[in-house]
Amino acid sequence: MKTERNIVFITISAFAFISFLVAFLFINPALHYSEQQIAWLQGIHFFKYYLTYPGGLAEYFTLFVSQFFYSKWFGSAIVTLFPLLTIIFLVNTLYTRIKSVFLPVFFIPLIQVSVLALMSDYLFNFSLVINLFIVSLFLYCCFYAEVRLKLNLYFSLIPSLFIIYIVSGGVYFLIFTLSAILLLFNKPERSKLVLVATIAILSFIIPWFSWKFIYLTTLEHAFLRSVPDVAPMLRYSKPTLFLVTLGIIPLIIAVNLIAEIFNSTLKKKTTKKNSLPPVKTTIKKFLPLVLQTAGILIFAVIAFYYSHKPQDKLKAEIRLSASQEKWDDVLFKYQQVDGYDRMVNFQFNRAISHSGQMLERLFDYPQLLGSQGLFLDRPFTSEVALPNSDLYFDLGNIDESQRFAFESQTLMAYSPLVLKRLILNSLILEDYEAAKTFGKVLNENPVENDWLKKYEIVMENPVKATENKLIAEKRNIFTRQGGLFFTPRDKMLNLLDKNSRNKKAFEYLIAFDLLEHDLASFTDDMKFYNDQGYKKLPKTIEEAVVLFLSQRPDNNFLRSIRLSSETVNRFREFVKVMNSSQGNKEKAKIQASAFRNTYWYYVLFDSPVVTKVKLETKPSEANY
Amino acid sequence: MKRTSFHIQVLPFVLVILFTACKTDIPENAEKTNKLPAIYPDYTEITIPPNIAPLNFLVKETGEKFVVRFTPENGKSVVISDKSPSIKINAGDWKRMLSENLGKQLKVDVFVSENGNWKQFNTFTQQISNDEIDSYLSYRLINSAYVLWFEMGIYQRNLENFEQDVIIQNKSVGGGCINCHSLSRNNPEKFMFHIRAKFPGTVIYNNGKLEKVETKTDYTLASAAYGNWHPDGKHIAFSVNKINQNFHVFKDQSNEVTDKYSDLVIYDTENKTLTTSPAVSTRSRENLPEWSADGKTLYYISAPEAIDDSARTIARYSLMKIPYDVETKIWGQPDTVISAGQTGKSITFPRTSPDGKFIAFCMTEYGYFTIHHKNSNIFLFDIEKQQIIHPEGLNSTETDSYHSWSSNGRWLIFSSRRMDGVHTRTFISHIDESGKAGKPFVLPQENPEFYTDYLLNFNRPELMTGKITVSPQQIRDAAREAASPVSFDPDVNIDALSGASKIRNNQK
Repeated sequence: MKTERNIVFITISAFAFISFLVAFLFINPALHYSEQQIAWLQGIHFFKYYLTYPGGLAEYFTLFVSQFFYSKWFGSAIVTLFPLLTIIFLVNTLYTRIKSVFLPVFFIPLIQVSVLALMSDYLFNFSLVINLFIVSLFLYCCFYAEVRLKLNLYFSLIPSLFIIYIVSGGVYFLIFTLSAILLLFNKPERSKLVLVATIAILSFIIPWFSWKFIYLTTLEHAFLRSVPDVAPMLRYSKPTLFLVTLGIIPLIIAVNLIAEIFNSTLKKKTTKKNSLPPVKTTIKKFLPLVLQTAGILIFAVIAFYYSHKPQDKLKAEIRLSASQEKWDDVLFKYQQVDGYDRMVNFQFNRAISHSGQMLERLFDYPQLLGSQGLFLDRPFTSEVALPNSDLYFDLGNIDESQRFAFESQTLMAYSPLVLKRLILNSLILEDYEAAKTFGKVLNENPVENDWLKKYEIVMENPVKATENKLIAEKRNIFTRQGGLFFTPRDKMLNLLDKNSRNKKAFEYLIAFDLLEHDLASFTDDMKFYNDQGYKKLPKTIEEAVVLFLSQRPDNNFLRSIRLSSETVNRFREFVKVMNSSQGNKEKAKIQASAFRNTYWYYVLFDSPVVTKVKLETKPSEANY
Repeated sequence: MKRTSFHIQVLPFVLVILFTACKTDIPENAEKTNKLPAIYPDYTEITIPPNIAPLNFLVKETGEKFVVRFTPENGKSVVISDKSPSIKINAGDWKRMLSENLGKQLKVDVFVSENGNWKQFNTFTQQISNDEIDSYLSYRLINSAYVLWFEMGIYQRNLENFEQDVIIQNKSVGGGCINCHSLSRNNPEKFMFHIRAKFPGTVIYNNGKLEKVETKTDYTLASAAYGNWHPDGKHIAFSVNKINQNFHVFKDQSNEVTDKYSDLVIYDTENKTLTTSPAVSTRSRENLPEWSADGKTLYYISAPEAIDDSARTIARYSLMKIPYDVETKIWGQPDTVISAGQTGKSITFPRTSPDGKFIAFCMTEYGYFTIHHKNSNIFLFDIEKQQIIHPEGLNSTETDSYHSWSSNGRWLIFSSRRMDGVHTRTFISHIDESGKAGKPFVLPQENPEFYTDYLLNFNRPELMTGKITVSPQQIRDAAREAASPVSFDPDVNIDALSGASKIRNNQK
């Protein structure tokens, strides 16, 4: 018995240590924090919301705990701690009830391994872990109270059912009832069977009654809700492993129950046959341990094989780097992304714009969606709201940035990034009272309120706004003008009308024209070129001019532009390669791979005008 | 005997202790500042209903101790002393002061101690009206987005205290958009709202019966949108609209909601039929119907045909009226009540007062959807004198928009963004018989700082004479049912319709 307890202790400790290392080195909970925009607020409005549906309190606690994911260290510690506590409570419940743990080395780390594998998905909501912890805690308390405090299980389990339903709700309530019923089967007796029947009936009545008369949830959610209801782009697609993890506690209990029944039957038989205990050899002693270790390792490998998606992690890192304006990081990581991704394309474009290389490196990333990778206005879906706000903020179109920030705020009401954007935009727009409203909300976020300090002074004393470099810079390039803006081009022109030296707006405008193959607009928009202070004509413009010239040699505007001999020679080479393919487009594409990062290659092979790739545009219903 | 004398001896001490413990001293020798105290929300010099919840407020003056004295003309004063500037009035005391002082004034004195020195601010008053306000208010709570939505709900608030209850939340209907709730003359037994996107349809609660209908027919261009109940409680006038949105069309205005087409229809809740007339389904854009108090006339707004994007967006609406008899289904001839050509502005959201004297409406530069129009203001139209009244002190420099009347016609509630320029809050204003408006005040909340960090908007405030008693669970269940179709009036000459319906059918 003592040996078994030692094994359990060693297993728990070892896997806790491994959990921390995996979480810290491979998972990085800071990415969950940024991807899910986790926010917990101290205010009463925030708390009250979580009282309005079953399971809200656990989700409130989950947000409180997971807000510390902002730090890789704290986050990893939390990811380690709660599965650890869950398993400790579960093991102690088993000891209280069954007196032993069957195959501890295999079963004990199951929760930890599963949670780590699930954490590989950056939209995985930590509420699963918190709810399993709550279930195990309540199970332990009920059965411990029966043994140590001699408290009848009726008085502990029945109230717990109601509490668990309110606190954890939905499927976790069913996990608790199922686990409790299994534990009660350990020593079946008539009074326990009545209790089992009562729990079974209540497991149906409580969710049904609360759905019918108390909460406004749907019937499905009343019984089966397992993750918070979040905005569409943050929704977690529950994989099989998630469903397996939901069932782990009853599974471990059931296995132990069966093992216990089997052991006692075996023991009786053995006692009848031979009263002497069997002699164990070293191999017999350690073989089960080895097999269990192998088993858990195989489970871990399979779980991680199916869950771990390095490309998703990479994309999450790119988004995080972009939100922190670490543009070099974005420009380093985008190269590791396999295939095409619209959001990577978008953040790559922002990164080259911020680093002043937009018209030098535009085609270093294949612009397969053309201007739809440059601007995210269409199709307008929930996942593009915040990136759109970011882009228009970069460009100085604060009206548009604010509009998309409001759309984002609707989806992620208390997201720190969104609130910061709303505050900053309000200050730039001189809406000081609005800035104070959003500022007060952000101030309730204990993790993020430090940021606020440097802007509070502006809120209280608007004169100080001019001393803030960022606010002053944006005000200088922003204009509040009316008009019918149908395309991003209209918006860029509006910005350049206010300040023709808005280089980012100019570069996005030219990039837009070129991606749209719009020679007429390009010709017209080049009127802002001289205000940008270029020392030499950017490579992309040269490539566009030389290409257009080849088709329109009589165009005076194009002829007036002096091109470098290097670009002209490269274009000749490109033409030569094209001619050599004798009209075979596939062959030409392969042969022109050395020109992949040129405008010519884009126009002939990558452009959606050629490929006919199109993102569906959804009609948006007015929010009246 | 000994025991009694002991009690007599102790009693005065107990009374003294109790008295000193409860009594709050008014600071003596407080220095007079000769200015009104800064309080939030601004509840100074206002007219209030005698049945309104306590007007709790925050003293926005620097200090370490705060004393506020409420002195009614009749009855005892109430003094609140606190280290916190948050002044919360006992509901019982408040109710007593108001009920004993109908038509009289309540004086409020604010004292603030700063560094041990007491300051006394000028007294401000609150006029207690004889006119009660309807006891409940319904509104939709939504975020500030224009296109997307996530969570929203329609709620009811007891104006006599701070209780708020759910009518319907969109999470009950798979996250669909719930909108345009409307009641028949403030009657909580007759209301409706629409659901879009998921579980679409119109939920109608009428005399204890909940039903859900789909109001789109082959002869109407869309499902019913903006609705107004006939005083008979059996008919609802709707507009049917083809809606678009544009952004930053006008300076200082984030969003412009416009219609490409719009017509009017009337829905008979008993026969489940829709009817219309060529007179209100023309190529012009008829919108936002509103019945007169006697139910014989239908007011609405109308703008010229949207021949292109520019005309669609930059349009001014006139206020129109047309006689209509709901029994015989006979329409009269349309007539212009307020011409946009004459005012140079667009008229929108007409709401007739229950006494039939006034039409409250919004006036803005262009369009009809004023919630994002910073320049939108509320005006009254005196029906008898045919005169526009600009109620002094009612409007602000921020958006003042959607409004509704109390059932006695003495209170106007409306949406305003005056508090922070972004979030819509509900304001209440007394309107006297001549159309003079009292200074508006914001819907009181238990926590005076409520509005400083509340990110939801109070949308479409509608007063109600009582509580909607049908449970939110029953409404949820009705809302999740499939909508039953309505039929189009066979007596309407479809060929005669020259408006959007026909345009739509031709496009098919």
